[in-house]
Amino acid sequence: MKRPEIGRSFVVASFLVYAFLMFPMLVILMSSFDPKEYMSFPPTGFSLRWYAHVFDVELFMVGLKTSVSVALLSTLVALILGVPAAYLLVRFNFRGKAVLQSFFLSPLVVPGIVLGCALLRFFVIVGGIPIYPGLVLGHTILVIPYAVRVTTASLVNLPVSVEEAALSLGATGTQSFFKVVLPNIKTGLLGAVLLSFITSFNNVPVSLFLSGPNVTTLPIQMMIYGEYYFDPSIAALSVIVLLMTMMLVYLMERTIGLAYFTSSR
Amino acid sequence: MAFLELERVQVRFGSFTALHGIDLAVDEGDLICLLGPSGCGKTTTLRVVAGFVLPDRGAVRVRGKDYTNLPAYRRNMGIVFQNYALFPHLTVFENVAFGLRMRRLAADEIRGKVAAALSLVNLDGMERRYPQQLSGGQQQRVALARALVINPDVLLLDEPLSNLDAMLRIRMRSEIKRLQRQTGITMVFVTHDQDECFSIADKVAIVREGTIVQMGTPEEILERPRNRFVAEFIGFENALRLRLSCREAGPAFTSVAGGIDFPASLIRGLDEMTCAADEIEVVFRAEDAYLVTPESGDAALRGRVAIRARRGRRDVYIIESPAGELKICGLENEVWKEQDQVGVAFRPGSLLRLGESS
Amino acid sequence: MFIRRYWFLAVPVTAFLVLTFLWPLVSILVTTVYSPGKGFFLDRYVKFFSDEFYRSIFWRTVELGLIVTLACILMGYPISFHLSHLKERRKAVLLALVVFPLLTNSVVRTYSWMVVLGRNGFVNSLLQRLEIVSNPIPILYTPFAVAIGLIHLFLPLMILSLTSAMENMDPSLIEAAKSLGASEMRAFVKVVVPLTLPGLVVGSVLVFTGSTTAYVTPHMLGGSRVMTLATLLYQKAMVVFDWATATTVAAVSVLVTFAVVWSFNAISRRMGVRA
Repeated sequence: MKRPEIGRSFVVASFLVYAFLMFPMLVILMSSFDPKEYMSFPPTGFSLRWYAHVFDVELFMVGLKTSVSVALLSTLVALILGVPAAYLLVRFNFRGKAVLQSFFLSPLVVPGIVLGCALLRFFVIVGGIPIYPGLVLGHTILVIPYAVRVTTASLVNLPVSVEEAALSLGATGTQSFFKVVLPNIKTGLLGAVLLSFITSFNNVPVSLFLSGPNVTTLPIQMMIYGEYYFDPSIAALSVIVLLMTMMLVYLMERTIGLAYFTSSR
Repeated sequence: MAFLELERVQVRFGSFTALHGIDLAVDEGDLICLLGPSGCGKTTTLRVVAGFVLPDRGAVRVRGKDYTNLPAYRRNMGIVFQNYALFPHLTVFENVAFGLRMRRLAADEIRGKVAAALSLVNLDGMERRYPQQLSGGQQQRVALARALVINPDVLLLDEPLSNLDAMLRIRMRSEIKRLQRQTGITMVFVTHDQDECFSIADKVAIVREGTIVQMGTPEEILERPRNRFVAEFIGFENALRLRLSCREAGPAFTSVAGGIDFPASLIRGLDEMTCAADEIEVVFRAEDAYLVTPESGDAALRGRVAIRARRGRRDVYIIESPAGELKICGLENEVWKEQDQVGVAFRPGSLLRLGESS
Repeated sequence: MFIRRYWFLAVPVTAFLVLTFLWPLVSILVTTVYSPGKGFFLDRYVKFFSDEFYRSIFWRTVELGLIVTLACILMGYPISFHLSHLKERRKAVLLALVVFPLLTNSVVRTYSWMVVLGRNGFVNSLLQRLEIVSNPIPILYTPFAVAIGLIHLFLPLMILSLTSAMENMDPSLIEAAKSLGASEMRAFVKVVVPLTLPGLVVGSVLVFTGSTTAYVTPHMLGGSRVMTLATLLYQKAMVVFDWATATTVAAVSVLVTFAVVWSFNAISRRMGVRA
């Protein structure tokens, strides 16, 4: 279908907004090459020393390890919990389905800072659970909505009749799930993993409360470091994070498609 | 005892009753068509047989064995779905082999059976393609092969031809008929297309609002539609109510509306007529009558052309007459204008008496 | 029909969320109004809202939320309108420019604004070079900086919601309006805006609740000078260990969020009836 033309004023306005969105990222990219100890603008030269420095700061490396392990673990748990539920929601109609669906998505509406506070108080202070499992728990809660939603979206695209065909050919429900359903929602699941991973990796409010000695995620470490030092190492680290994010956006376009973000919201 | 039996099967979805007690008996090796408009319950009936829908009441039996609560995967029934439902992640070979793998057959045996099934549907050499790489007709054949290779007790076909173009549909019809003769498998075929149904079926069940309104051979149904619904569904577009009066010369018929006399020679199906039934209903197709000038001696009744509509090489006219609105096919190369006064003539025996008054 | 056999699929995740999410949350919120010893009480809320300092933080948070939401609407519409007119390939590229910031860590994004707005940052050096000001002006740690950071943070959410609504709109409607003599602007205001109201509502809920509960941006760009409910909550819980106040602030945040979600839902339901 041919789309109608659009007025020039809208094009100009929207490119100004794109510029606003991209501008600080360009500034941080430029600053990351500044050789000086104290960041200023415009940068005074070109150097890669802060990129090397990032890998020498142990806090960052420990934080990265924590972030990645928490993100992977919580994604895994959320998928194991969320995929069967998504399957139920897509394939069957029952009373209270809408309520259950909203319940699975409800961690999205509760302010992260409140959730973090509640989890710390309830599990760590009162319950005596160590910080790290608490952190994984918190991130799992945050990631479940994405696991359920993305899986639901890809299950909807697999006609029920395909599963029924498997049943009629002698596959039990379990066999048909593993031999027919799972192979056909692979890409959707990969998308769910990516989105869950980035959601956990980026989280601050929950990680902020559930943080302790040797258990501090990378974003929190960056925030703390940024409060005390104003050298460009944070800028360099930010660029590294930006590159990683860019890669994830690319992978998401290839799996669930970026159109996911403009549908079913 | 019939091979496949449904006894008073009732299915409810929430407050909606999809099937109100379906009774159906299919003999071994027969192809039975469930024919009806969309939403009538024919697909639900099929799904009950397949085991995808558990009936709230009633029973399903195959060879006298109770299947009512048997899970779908233990029924040994082949199904061809409207959208074919091929496994998108598997090749043609793997699709057809799926049911055999579930039955844990040896690899050699699987290879042999798949090859035989694919050649049965004329798809040799397609083993390594994926479903997306096949045309609609080829996908259809894969679906057939996949359902047949497990040597099912019953083959269920859910509007299998509705996604094909007209030419291919007619070809696949005879293919399916050939497969039925060749394999001797009992088949249940769901469709809303009466041409398809009558060209392929050994038995036809007309379904309406969750009940079977008439069942019989195609000839029985075409010759003796039981009521207006069936008659209309199989193309008898016009209906007239006639009053019977027993005169000395024999029975005479007068239309209830308009009081027009119809000679008994025009009516067929009068064999068991008695003068006791004082009103009968007759139906006829648009092609069973033709238009003549009002003065013609052939004219059984007279009227006015209300609408002229083109339908292929022969036009169709809506005629307003004292007996009501009639839909009549014009003869080839004959044109009547709207508002023309016309006579309507019938070929002998073209008015079909309905089996029961409704 | 088959639900009898498959309901267990939802049990693990439901149990998990009830135990780890609902229960802690509810029990924390309940402690702000009830204790087994004292029974039911509201004095923490009375204290919170009668304290001028807390009240100012509350209103500043709400005010920031409203400003940010409004700015996101104004900046989001042109870009969504533009996006919805593009063909697949260009659209994918520009959509990536929206999704990319959305998926970028908020610490990274906020930190980049510190570089832009700081004493020796981009804006101040530009102003000095153009000789508009002679000494750096304070931009960082003002409500303005916090607002800019929050707009940048939440604008993608608004854009995506609006784009989603525009894609559900029949593009020929705009042409119809223009063929009837409406200018581009008038067609936009009279046709596009009313038809995308549902997206506007969803986007506004996301932006408002997000910006009133965000922690990183007010913390890094506002510091202790521009406190919001979120930074106050953290300070009370983790710095001064005043859990009574912290949980009260948490409850107030939740109430604000739910009030907004509920009222916007009510609005969209009323619009849904009309549509």
